[in-house]
Amino acid sequence: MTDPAQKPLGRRAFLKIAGAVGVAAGCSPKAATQKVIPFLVPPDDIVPGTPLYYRTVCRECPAGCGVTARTREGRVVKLEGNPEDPIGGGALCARGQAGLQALYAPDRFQGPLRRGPEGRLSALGWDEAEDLLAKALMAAREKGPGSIRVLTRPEPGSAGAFQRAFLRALGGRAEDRVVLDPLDAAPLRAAGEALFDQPEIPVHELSRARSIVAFGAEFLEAWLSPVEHARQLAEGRGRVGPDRTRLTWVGPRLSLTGYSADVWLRARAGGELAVALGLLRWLVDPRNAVQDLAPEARALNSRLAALDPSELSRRAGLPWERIERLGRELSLRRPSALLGPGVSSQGPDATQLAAVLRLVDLALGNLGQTVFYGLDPMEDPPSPFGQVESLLADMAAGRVEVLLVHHADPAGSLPAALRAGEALGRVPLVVSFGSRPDETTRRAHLVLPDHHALESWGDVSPRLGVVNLCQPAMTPLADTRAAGQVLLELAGKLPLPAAHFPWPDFYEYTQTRAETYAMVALGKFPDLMAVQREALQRGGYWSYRLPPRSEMPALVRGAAEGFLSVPPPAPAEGGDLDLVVFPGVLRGGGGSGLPWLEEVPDAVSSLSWIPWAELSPATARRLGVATGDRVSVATSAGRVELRAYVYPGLRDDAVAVPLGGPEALAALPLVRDAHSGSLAFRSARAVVARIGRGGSLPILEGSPYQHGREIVPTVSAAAPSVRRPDLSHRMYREPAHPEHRWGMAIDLDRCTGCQACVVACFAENNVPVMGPEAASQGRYMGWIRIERFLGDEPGGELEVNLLPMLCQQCTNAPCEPVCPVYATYHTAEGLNAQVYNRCVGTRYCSNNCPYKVRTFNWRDAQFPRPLNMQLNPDVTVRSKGVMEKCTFCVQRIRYAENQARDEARPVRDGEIVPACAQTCPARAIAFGDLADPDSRVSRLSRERRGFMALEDLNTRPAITYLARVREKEEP
Amino acid sequence: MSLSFERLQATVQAAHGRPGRGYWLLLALAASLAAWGGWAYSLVVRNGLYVTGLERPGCWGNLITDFVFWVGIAHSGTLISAILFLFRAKFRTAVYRVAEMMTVFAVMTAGLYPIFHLGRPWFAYWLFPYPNERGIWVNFRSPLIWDVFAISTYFIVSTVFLLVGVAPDAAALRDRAAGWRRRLYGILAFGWRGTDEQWRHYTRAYLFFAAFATPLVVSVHSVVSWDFAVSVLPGWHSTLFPPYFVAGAILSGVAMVIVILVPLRRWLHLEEIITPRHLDMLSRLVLLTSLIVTYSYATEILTALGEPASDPERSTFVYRMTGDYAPLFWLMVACNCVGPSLLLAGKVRRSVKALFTISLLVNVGMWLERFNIVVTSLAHDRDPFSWRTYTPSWVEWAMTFGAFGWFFFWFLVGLKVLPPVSIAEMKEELAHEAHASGEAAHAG
Amino acid sequence: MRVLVTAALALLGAGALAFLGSRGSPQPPAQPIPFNHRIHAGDNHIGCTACHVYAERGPVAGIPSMGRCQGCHKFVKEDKENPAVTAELKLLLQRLEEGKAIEWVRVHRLPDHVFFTHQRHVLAGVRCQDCHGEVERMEAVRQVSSLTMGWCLDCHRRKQAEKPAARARLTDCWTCHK
Repeated sequence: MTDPAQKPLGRRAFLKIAGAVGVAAGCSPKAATQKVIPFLVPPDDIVPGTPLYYRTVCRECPAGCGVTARTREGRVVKLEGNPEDPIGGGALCARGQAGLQALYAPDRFQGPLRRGPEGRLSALGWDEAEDLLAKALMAAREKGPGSIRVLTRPEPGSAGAFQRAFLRALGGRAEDRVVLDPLDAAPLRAAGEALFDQPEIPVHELSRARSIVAFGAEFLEAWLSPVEHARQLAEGRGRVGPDRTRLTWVGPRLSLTGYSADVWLRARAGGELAVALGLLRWLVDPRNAVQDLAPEARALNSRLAALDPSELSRRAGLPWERIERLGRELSLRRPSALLGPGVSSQGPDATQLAAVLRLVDLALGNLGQTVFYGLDPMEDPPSPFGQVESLLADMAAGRVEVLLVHHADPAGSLPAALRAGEALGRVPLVVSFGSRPDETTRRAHLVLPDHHALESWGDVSPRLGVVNLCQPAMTPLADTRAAGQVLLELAGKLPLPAAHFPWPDFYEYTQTRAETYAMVALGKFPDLMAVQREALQRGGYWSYRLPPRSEMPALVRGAAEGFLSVPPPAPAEGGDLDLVVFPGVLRGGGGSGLPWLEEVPDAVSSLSWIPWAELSPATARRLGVATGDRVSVATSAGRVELRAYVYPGLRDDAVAVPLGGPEALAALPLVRDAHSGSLAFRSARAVVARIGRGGSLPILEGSPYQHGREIVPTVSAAAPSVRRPDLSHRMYREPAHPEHRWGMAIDLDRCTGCQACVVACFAENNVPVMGPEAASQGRYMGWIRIERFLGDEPGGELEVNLLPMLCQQCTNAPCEPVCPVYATYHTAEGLNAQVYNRCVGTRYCSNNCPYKVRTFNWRDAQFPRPLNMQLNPDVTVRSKGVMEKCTFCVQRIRYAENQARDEARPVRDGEIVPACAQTCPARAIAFGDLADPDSRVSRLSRERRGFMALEDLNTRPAITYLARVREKEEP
Repeated sequence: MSLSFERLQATVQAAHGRPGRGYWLLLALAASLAAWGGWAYSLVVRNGLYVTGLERPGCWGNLITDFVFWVGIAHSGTLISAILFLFRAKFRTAVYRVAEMMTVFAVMTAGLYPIFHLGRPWFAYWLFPYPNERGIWVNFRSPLIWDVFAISTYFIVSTVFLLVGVAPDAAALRDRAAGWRRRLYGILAFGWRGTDEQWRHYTRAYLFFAAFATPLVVSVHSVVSWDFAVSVLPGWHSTLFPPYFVAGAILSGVAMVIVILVPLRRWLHLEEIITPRHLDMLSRLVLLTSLIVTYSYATEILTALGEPASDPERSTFVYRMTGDYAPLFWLMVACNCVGPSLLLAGKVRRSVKALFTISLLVNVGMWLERFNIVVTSLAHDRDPFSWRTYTPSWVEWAMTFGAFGWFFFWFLVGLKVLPPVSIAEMKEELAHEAHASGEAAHAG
Repeated sequence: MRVLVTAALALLGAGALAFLGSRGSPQPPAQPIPFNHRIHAGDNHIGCTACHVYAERGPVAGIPSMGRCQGCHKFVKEDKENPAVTAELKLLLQRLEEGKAIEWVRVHRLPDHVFFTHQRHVLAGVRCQDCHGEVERMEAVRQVSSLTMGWCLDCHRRKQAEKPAARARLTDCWTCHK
């Protein structure tokens, strides 16, 4: 205080100082006080900050893949495939990955709800709800059989079994329980029954097939068991050379599955059957002298010879030679697999198509080689569509008093023409076990929310010899109850002798069932407990084997003949375009409403958040429509408004609309498959008209053409090597990588573009979901994107190439030198690091990145509760104004490195698996140490098919792509 | 010409007289424009850059365009005062003061943008190398760091240069002014008394500063051009950029000087001081630089067109001329190449109106040039799948026009405080003329 | 002139406070119950990891569970020598009766973008006291080291200098920031 100016220091001046000091205090590093609250009793298996894994089952689709749930501090943060499960084989699809968000969905029901007189749902207690329901059930029971009905999704396990037991106890009939799967492949079952007396869905082993022909079967997207199929196809694609699996796609629209095809036969909608018949005709035609053909098939020649090739080719919309060529290929390339019908080819003749394909299998001896009967567990198969319709009819007629709906959404997943919504309205008491709002819960009178699969006990047997066990990976988030538990408690409240079950709770029920499985597996174990413990740890009981040829069923005498005539052509009224509806790889059959699946762009159109209508360029020109315009699609069933997407992968006489929203369902007229009576998705004709401009579109792709830049080269099986630039001249010293150089190899011949890696990355790396507005403004945040090129120039030849684009971790990274604050730099392990807390957000790195793989946080990311519980604690949640990008999952790299150090050993090859590589169903992504010449990734990157993205820039990426093999014509 | 010292003094001081309603109106307009821009920026700080039209790949847009534009404007000052001084170009005397004021305020404007443009502007100080316990240093390989140095250096030097030039005039004004002005000029005059000693030092110092500032004219905008030239982006990665940018900068700068001088002449009645001859000289400068710029455009485009069709470089330039932004490109050509070429005709040069219009358009054109370079290149990079077109949001426009408000606010204030022309040098010049015309030198 | 002075003083004050802030806090925060590390770790020589059980196994050392307190204080209910301690113990025993968790006030805290793990440091042979100070001599724990990045780096650089090749990662940004 020696400063003379100090003396006249007045009150105001003093306050100024005080204020300033206060502010300074605010700036100082010490933040507000936090509380640390200890456990009362510590759970002995949890070490805070370290992961804990549980094996359970994915219930997002009927395939029933086994999953491993990674939990942290008691909450699930990531789902991964269970490597021991024979179905998924350790992989998980995009929808499986997103299952987590159904668990943490902010709109989940927090407890039982009742619809009050004013029509709004209001909370009530469980006991109250159950009493209420018990009374209603007893009352309804008086009304006679059929007044209590159950509508459920396929539950091939305890849940389904217990529902049946419960219904029986109530004195209900078996048909009172209807199993609904909107995308049920009933025609396959019908064909099996008719031909082989086997009402089963056949199981395919595609890895053995040298040729696969998909008749509109989206077997890599939604058909039967996509993850399994992708793995099997990839195995076939691994064999570069004559044995490489050759895939032919038959249909009016080139779907994502079609992208993996070597040949696309542009059959018109409904032409698939004609192609199949033509194929069979050609094969059995003695003039073509096809070797070792099954005699039963030869016998069919008399009938098939009657078919007129010109008529067939006209119906198929293909020149006869194409069919002949296909026949020749299949006659030479044995064994082969013929898949279909899928949703887009499931028309009024679906069963016939399925039957003809089985006959071709029979003729070529594929049965027992690539296609198998006798593996369908017949555990809770979907009901025939007729039963669904009669249920809706009974409901509409007021013959149903109480309807128990278990994870089925008739109002939201069936064609509007069925008027399921109105039917529900006529039921006095609709009880839903759904856990999130949907069209059905919107009409339900009582909502008894079920646990999420990750919170409940159970078991699923998708195959004979496969039982995947479902165990809770975390305690329930809300006041929910397992549907089975609710039924059990209801039974206790019912004054019925039959309804007194011996089990104290549903868990015990599942265990008693599990014991029966355990019995089978018993032997090498001392007691059942040990078996069951081990089974829970591994995820299930597996005695899966493919039956030998000898066990394949024989053709029922005279069964084939009925399927060999061409049905009369469909009446051409209703419009000038064939309406093609197809399931997306992300949204599947029904709309998901899960942020990740909405945010991630569709693999084909690269559109997110909205449905769309695809038109071929020629048709679009004719109608004066451009991508983004609003168009109306009118069928006999109804008229819907959609945004147009001009897509060269579609016939000029068709318009395509994705399933997974009300639009497609509204446009579907009520047409049934002649034989199985199942819903025909392909039958309608539509009129498309332009309404007007649509404004900006939530689309990712800029130009889908390579513009002569050879960004994604392809090779032929004969000469599988890529021309690469000579980069031998070095001007600067390259950074050294003393210990490791982490790298990746992506096999484009295996990649199917299924987007599983993209969603897995969202889950692992806390990548924010920005919403539709951001998507239409180019603010999509995904770290990986599947780039889809349709050819070289607009209007040129259609040649689809996929390129998963993620940070290339360049050795000479253009982004590094331009960052003014060293927020991005090259690590000693060859990674291109991004330090979020150092980034000031100049965005120069993104400008200078030739791959445009860096994403910027234009605003603070939103993780609405409880979605924030899913955030991976090992990865920073980035704030606004920060650049982010793929890190090769550095958190996993460091985790493995630390483990290796603790165990005093080097990191093993294949020990580190980034989220994208881990989940890839096709196993297209390999990760490892490029500094180690013997590592798998090094060996792959030395392959002749190898190339690097924009290699001539000399950025020296750590990612090597293996060029796709393309064989347009059979060599 | 017969302009006496007194009249000169008088006219210049008249400029400092009580400001009229018009002045206040302009000042208010400028201030409110700036305020609007400030409000827009506050949105960016609060909600992130989401409120702009920026996206991927268009991570840079209007704001960077503005930055380059204002750095360009800043050039004329030093060029006119320093280089022309070294070349003893007489015509500069009447105009260089305005030009220098322009420079300083333009740099003040340009300097804002790099900060505006950050994702986390509150960490802007990380761009300066300062010792810290973390031992983290800035990345000297990054052109953005070069910018930091180039701009700050240029700001300091041009400010000092301006103040040194002002000193004698400030003294002259001090002797006649009263009140706060007298105190202010007292400070600005640095105790100037006009002794021969001081004159000798002054002229030396001035010469020295001129010599020191001259290389900056070339360096600053070369450095700015490296922001683009150093990258790998087609349309940015070009060895032509430094000279091309410097020429462009001078073109826009001189054009701006004209745009400001013409009305100033009228309002402050400086017709006798800033004569048509001066304007003519400036317009020749415009013509020359415009020709250089035109030549650069041609070189750029022709080199690109020499490449095969699949070449990204070529593709980018074809896109520039025929793609989504083509209208802007051709407007730019019209403003920067066609317009100035009219100045070949003496009649046009001597018509103040025509000169004003052409110069105004040149400024529009030069802004568009930077927009074309920044935006079209980003929108059309190597990977076609990531192509997108960027459109600025109202926020960016607000910040763009706000900058003009900010600039003119300071400029208008400056006009009332600093002498708009250099009294001392004018006197000197007049004296020479008088001497040449054989009359007895008038004693000041 | 006065304004200038006030401004200068303000800055000085701010600087001083920020400086103090960056050092450990001189005063320990007030805890819900006066737990005494000197008695436990000092006088009775209970090892750190006896209570902070996760230090060797996980990122966080962990606050002892109420069960663990119970483990000893089922028997240790009073201190014959000094009734003051007995009085303090009353508070704890009461809590244990209620079966409620004690909400301790956090002393050591790192920002969210720092990924620190006790496991690595403990296994690397860093003594607890190196960062937390001589806790066994403290009545109540207070933060003795600044826990700033510079402070971390001082040690990391020293360790790296010992084996530059093997310990390259010690100064890699991604070692602590991911």
